[in-house]
Amino acid sequence: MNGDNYDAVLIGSGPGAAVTALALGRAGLRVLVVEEGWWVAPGRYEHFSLEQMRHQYRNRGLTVALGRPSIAYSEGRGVGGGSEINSGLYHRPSAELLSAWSRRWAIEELSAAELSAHCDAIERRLLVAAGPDTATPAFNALRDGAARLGWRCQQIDRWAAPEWGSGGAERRTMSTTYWQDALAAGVELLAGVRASRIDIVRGRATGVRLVDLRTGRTRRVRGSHVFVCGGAIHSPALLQRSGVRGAIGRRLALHPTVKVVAEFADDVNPPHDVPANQVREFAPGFTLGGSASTPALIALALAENWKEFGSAAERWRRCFVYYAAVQGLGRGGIRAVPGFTAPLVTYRLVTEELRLLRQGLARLLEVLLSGGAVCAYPSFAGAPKVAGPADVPAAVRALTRSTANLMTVHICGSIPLGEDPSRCGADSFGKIHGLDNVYVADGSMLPSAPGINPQGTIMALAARNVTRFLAGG
Amino acid sequence: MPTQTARRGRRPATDMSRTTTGRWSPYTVVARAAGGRAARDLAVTLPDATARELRVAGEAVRDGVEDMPDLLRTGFVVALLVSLVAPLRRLIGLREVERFGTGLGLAAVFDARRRDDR
Repeated sequence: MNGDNYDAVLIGSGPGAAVTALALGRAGLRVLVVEEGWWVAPGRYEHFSLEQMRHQYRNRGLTVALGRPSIAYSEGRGVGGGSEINSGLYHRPSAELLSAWSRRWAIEELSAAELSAHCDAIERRLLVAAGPDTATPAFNALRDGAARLGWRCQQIDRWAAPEWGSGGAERRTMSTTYWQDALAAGVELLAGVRASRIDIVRGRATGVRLVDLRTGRTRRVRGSHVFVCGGAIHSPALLQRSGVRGAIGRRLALHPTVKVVAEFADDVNPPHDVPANQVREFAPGFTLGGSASTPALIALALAENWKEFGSAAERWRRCFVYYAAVQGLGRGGIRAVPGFTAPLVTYRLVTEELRLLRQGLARLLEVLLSGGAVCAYPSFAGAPKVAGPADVPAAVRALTRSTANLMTVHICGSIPLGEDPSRCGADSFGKIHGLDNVYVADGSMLPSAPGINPQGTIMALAARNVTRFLAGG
Repeated sequence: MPTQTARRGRRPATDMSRTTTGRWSPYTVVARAAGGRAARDLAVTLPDATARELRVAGEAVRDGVEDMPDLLRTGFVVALLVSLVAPLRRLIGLREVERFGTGLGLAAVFDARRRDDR
């Protein structure tokens, strides 16, 4: 066999790719995976540190969807993708969500029952379980505040060993689980290699052009099948650069998120962990939770009003960052721009989302004050310090399109699954419409922002789709 | 293409070499200018910052500009140039450049302080 001929070439190595590669490798196919970033040993970089961002985030996390307001987003870059850097919170996709997707997007054979076995397998491999009740005040603020207000607060399962929070070494990431299994099954993995283009002739991929990022040398590999798994931004951009038309990158779904730094009377901050508690009383409209809170990230959250709020950064052990994430209703897009590696990413926040963000901000401030915070500093320009319930309305009024400082860590929906090629980039099982042998296996395929941490859903859908692929579907 | 990162049945190499280091481009000049400016601004924003911390902040901003997505970086450069022209200082450029420099610079200083604490 020619050394550059593969049964399947996967572009990207995040959770969707990991599940797909393992299944293909175990089925005896010759599989090549190319990943732009590097293999980083778990625990090598302090979790949520700037050093980790430098090495394991795409563009150090300095990425933004342009709009009014623009929304900062971050993506993992390296073997394992986002699983290497995220908070490890797992949600099994709900029956209601899957049913709504199936109905609205005409996705065949999509239900909780169809995904159940795949979810079971993923949860077993990642040791998904409720974490220990750490009784850290920053974590319990949400739980206690919600209890006092009579709101529903849920402890979210995680894929992590009990040592979670001790530096990240015990996290169950893709590089410690699925990629180990895939490599043992004979899958080949090239790190530090970018796919620049898929060669497509008469609706069929004939090969993938690669660039070695260390040497700049190029190479072409042939694959009977190509799976794009580069994430919701770069998968559609790659397809566009390869000349694919249709509903590719015309949409972008995300969870717009507003943040608040809460200050407590005592030390509360374990800087390498995030709370597993989420207030889901107002879901699917919005969810309240805790975010990474290293001193650097606290300073960043206070930066918009540094003159007024900056002194709190010196008391970072008493501070923690919380968020209100709304279910995205706006519409964005991704457009490959000739001459640039990065695509143009846009997102148009709709009025209803701004309303939900204000509601979310109000509820977040209420629950934090009820949960023991002595004051809170909303993270957007011109926000007032909130020292009690009477200050909440002024903070809400101050949140406008002009002042908002929004971010997201969940991006999806740029190649949605579905049978209607005018709306969907791929069919019900991930095959790109109009192409014979190109598939998507990452967050791009989720039709809309799911209102939950999406990794579990991406993995389950990828497992379902590759099972169908191997069955000849 | 070298094959040192390709492994069948083994994990790939962990080479962390950056592709931008050591290469000159107009962007590296702009990145240095942005880093220097951020350090100067930060000296006012954070009066207790040490010279070393300001240097760390400046380097973080410089590296940040170099590592931005190329499309955004082009926009950033335009914004930076606009912000240097006095009559245009209040237009689009200044706020975005200042926000970027201040935010990343502050984060770098507090990241350094945290590392020093440990």
